[in-house]
Amino acid sequence: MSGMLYGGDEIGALVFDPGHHSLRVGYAQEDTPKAEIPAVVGVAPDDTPKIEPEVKAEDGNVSSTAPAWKYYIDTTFLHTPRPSMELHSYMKDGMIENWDLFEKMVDYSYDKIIQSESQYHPILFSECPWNLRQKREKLTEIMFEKYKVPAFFLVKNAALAAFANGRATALVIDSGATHTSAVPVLDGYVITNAVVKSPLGGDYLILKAREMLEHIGIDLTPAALIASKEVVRDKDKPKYTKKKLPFQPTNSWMAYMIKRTVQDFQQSVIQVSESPFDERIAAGFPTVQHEFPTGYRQDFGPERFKLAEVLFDHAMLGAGHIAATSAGMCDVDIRPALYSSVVLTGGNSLVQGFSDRLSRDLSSRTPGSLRLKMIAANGTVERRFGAWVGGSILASIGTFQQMWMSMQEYQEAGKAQIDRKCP
Amino acid sequence: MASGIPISDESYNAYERVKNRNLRGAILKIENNEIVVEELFDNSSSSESTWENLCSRLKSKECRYILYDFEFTVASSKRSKVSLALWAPDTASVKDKMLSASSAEALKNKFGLSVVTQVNCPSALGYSEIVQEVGKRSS
Repeated sequence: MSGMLYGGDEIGALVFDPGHHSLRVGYAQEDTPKAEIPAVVGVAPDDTPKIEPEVKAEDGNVSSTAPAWKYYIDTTFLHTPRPSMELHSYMKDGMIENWDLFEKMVDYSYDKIIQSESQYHPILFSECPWNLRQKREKLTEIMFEKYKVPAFFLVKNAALAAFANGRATALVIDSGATHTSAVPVLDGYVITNAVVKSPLGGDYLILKAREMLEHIGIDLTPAALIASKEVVRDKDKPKYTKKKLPFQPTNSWMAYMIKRTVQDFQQSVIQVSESPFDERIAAGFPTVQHEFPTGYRQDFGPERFKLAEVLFDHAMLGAGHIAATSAGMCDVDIRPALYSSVVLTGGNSLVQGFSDRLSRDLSSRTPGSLRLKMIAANGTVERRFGAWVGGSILASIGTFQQMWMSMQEYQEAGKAQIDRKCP
Repeated sequence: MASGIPISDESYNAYERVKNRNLRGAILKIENNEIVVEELFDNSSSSESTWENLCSRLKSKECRYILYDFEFTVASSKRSKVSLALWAPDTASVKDKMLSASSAEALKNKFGLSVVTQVNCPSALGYSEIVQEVGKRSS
C-alpha cells in the first residue's frame, strides 16, 4: 500500500450517501451504488446461549447475563419477522441522529458490501445542506478514529446534484422520503441561509395513502405474513391464509412492513395532476388497477390525484412555494441564473407527473421577465442516486485526491479541520 | 468546492491575449486531467460573426469552456467585456458535466474573472442573449 494514497486511478475510494430512506454505498468511478440499504436497523435481544469460561466473577456487580443485542440490517434480514425485533431509524431531519446504529450500518457495509477493510479506502460522504457543525465533526472523528480511513471528504448533496447536471449555479429541489427542500447553489457553494425545507415528502404521502386505504377498509397485511392466497374477482373480499407464527411480531416491524406495502401502492398508482386538483378533470383520466399482497384488487381513479395533491396545494409548504421562497431569499442578481437552472432530484420526485406540475407551479410564481428551465433527469438512477453518482465521479477525479482531508491532517489538526477543508 | 484540475499555461496565455485584444476568443477543454486550449479565434471579423463561428464548433455531447471578448452597446455606449462561459449541454455525459462544472470555479479564479455564465442548450447560444447575461452580471 505504499505510495497508494495519491496515486492514479487505482484509488478504490468509496462513496457513502446517507438518506432517510436508504444508505447508498459503492465504489467511486462506478455508475450506480453497489447497494441501497434501507435506513432502518432491527434490534433484538440476543438470547443465544453463551459459553462462559470457568472463571468466577469476583465483583458482584458484574453480570454475566447482561443483555447483548443483535442487529439486523438490510432487506433480507428486515423482512423476516423475528420475536422482539424492534425497528429503529438512525436518521432524523436529514442528519445522522443515532450514532451507534449508524456505526452498525457502516460495519455492515464494509463487511458485506465492500468486503474490505476500512483503512485501505478513502471515503467520501454526502451530507444535507443544513448539517450541523457538531455532527460533521463527530462523523469525521468516527471515521478516522474507529475506521482509520486514510482520507475523508464531506460534500453537500445539493452541490453534487447541481454538478452532475453540468451546472455550478442551480436551484436544487430535492424531494425525498422525509422532506422536500429547495437549496440554491452558487458557483458550487450552497447558500445556507436561503435553504427552505418542508416536511412534505414521500413518507407523508405514504401516511395519507395509508389513511385513505384503511378508511376504505382495505386489508393491508404485508406479503411476509401471507402463507397463500387465492385469485378473487375485482373488489371481492380477499381469500388468504396467514402464516402461523409462534410469536407476535412487534408493532414497529408491522408498521414498517405495512409502510412498504403502501409504498408499493404509492409508486404504481399515485399520480400528480398537471393543474390544481379538480374532481371532474381527474375523473376523466383512466383508472389504474392495483393488487395488494392479500390478493385484493381494485381500480383507483380520482383518489390517486387527490392524494398526490398534498405535496403541492399547501400554501406555505407546497413544493412550488418553497422553491419560489428560496429563490426570493437570494440576491436579486442571481435569481435569473437560479430560475434558468432548476434541478429536480430525490426519490419522491419520481411520482408520476411531479416534474410537470412543479414546472407549472414555479412558472406561475416566476416574475414575468425571467426564463424558467427545469432539469429533471428521466431515469430512476439519476434521481434516486443523483448525489451518489455525483460523489462517485468527484471522488474518482485524479486531482481531487489532493483536496481530501488525510489521516495525517486529522492527527495534526483534529476534527475541526473538516470545516476548513470541506466548506 | 473545486475539483483540483490544473489549468495549463497555454490556457492562461490565451486568456492574456484575449484580455489584451490580441484574440477574440478561445475554446478550452479538459483533456488528460488538465484544462487546455482547443481552438483560438482572432478578431479579424466582427464580434458577432466570430461568435457564430465559435458556436458552430461546439459539440452537442461534450462540455467546453468558452473564453470570449464580447462587444455590445448599452445605453448607446460601446462596451467590451471578457467573459467565461461554461458550455454543458444536457446531452453530455454525467462525468463530463460533473468535471466541467466543478472545475469552472478554479478557472474563473485563475483568470481573475467575476462570473461564469452557464449555457446548457443550443437555444441559449444566441449572441444577444449571451450579451444580456454578461452585461447583467458584470461588476
